[in-house]
Amino acid sequence: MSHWQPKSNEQGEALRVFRYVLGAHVAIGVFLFFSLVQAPLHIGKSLPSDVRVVCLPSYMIPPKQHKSLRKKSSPVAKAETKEVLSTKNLVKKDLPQRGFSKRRLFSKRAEALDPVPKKKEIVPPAPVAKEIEPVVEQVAVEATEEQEVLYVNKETYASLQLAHDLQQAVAEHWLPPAGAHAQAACEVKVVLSATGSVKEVQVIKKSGIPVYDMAARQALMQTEYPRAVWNRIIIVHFNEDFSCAA
Amino acid sequence: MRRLIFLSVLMMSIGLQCQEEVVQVSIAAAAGSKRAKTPLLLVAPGHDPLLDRLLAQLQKDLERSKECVVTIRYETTPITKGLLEKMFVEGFPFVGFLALAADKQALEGRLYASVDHDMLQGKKWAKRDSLAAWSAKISQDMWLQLMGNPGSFISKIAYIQKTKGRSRHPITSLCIIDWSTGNKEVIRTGNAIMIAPYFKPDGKLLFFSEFTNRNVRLMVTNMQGKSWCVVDGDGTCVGLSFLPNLEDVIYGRSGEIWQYHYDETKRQGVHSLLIKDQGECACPIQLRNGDIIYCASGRIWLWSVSTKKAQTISGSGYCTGPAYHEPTGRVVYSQRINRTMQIFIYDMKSQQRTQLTFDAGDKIDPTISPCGVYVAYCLSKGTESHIAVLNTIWRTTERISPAQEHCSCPSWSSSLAV
Repeated sequence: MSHWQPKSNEQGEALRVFRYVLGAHVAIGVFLFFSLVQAPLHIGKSLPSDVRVVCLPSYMIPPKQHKSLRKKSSPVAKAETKEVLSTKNLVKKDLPQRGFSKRRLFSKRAEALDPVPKKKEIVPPAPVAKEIEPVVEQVAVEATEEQEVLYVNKETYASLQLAHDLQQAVAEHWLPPAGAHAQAACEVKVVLSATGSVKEVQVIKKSGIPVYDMAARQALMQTEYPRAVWNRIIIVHFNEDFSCAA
Repeated sequence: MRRLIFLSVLMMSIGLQCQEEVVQVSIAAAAGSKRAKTPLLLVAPGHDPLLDRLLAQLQKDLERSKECVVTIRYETTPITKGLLEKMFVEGFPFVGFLALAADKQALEGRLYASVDHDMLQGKKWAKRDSLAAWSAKISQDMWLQLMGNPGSFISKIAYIQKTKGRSRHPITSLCIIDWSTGNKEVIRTGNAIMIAPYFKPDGKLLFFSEFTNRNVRLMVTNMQGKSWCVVDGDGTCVGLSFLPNLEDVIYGRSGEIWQYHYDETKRQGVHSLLIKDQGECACPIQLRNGDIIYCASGRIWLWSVSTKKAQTISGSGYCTGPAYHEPTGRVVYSQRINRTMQIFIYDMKSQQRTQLTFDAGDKIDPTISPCGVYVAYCLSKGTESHIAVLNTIWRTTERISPAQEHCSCPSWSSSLAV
């Protein structure tokens, strides 16, 4: 092993740098592996249609809601998704640049969510209006009193937006065959090229009704996909709405 | 060091390979959304009088439920991938190539999914007695490949017809009408009143209730008209349902629901009381999981075998005559709305009720077709009573019994294997 030993200080320095570079490569490789393989982008969460979605940084989202969101984003929950998210419910909020207190915002949100009044000792002093106002920079639609507010982080917000765009694009061409019963559901995989064209459409979970599967395939072949999903694999779950099934 | 280099290269390559992210999304058919009729192309090699008539009959049969649009084309070129692709581009995802055998005693056919050139079916159908029966058999097989169910092409509807004899004495007949051909057949005629016919799931026997001087007994007849008594006890025995094993039976008897089981060891039938409600229980239907749907006190009830308790599944009005379609899990029944009996459908899974009919005339005794698309019922207007069939997809109605006949109590058979 003596030939591996550095013969001079300069060589030893170069070898150390080389090791650092290699280490960085390994780290990047691990990051790419786990970020892209283990955690694919999941969209299509099962959200009720009357929910108003507010975008906030992760650390500002109430912990309980955070858990529920994680649960909803599981593939099982996605398979059960029936509701289509409407654009009007998507609202984006950003952080204030300064004078912002995380504790104040939490306590304020807790008041809004929990109708039971809290003890005076626990409640922090009321925030100054000037401090709270800049929290809302861009509000598309004002929430009604009955509307449930769901706080999501930036990534989830983006995925919901993407889900909505994709659902709209596919729904334009989705014509379920007449007579398909309420339990009909299929899962189709679409491979998109870098230019957005369809490379492959494959039914990965059959409905048992060939006509239904074919209608789903035809819809996906005709769809013009949003740019955000180009060069990706899309798995689309088609299902029937019970109320309209004949 | 070498290991480190190898590991880094490996991880980088895997990471770059997996740049295609998977996006999952759900699409549900929204309420009231458009429904498409499936285009089907039937291709024949050339004109032939018999083949032309058969193709026309096939088109009529396949388009009857309005789920398909059939186009007939004559093509002499052989079947190639290019031809199938061309047909897919033209808007035909399914193509059937049909040709008569050399002796004209059979039809040879192949059904393709044109998009990926898959042959779904290749079969030879022997000639039948009638063109309609031949076409019905071909349609049934093709439908099974396209829709995943055999359809209702080879099925029958039993009903009761009332006429007046020479001495103006009422005569009751048990009739069967063939769904595809429309041929009517009288199975049994008598002076005694007959009601509530019910097909055994294999379609070989037909049960019904018959009035006598001392009771209402449960009878059965085969398709040749030979009948015999099944239950001849006290009270009124009306309404019958077979268990999935086709051995045990539940039936309504004087407002109670009884179960019949044949004991092999004792070599005798055993009748046991199953449900005794405060109201008069009638029209029992046994589900596959053992639950029972029945009618009592003007409501439709679902009795759970696990909890031994019943809960109502119908609306607030007076309800009667439930019928169940197992593949779709839907119950159809009559409910009184503004003094008129209308047809409702209840989805067991979503627990939603939908009113199917809105027009004048009492609609009672609904029964669902084997494919689940049609609902046959008795339509009564004044003194008239006839059998009508409703298409639940497009809400169109057709009358299947002659206008001058007084018909009631329809019962649809299952899809019959012929």
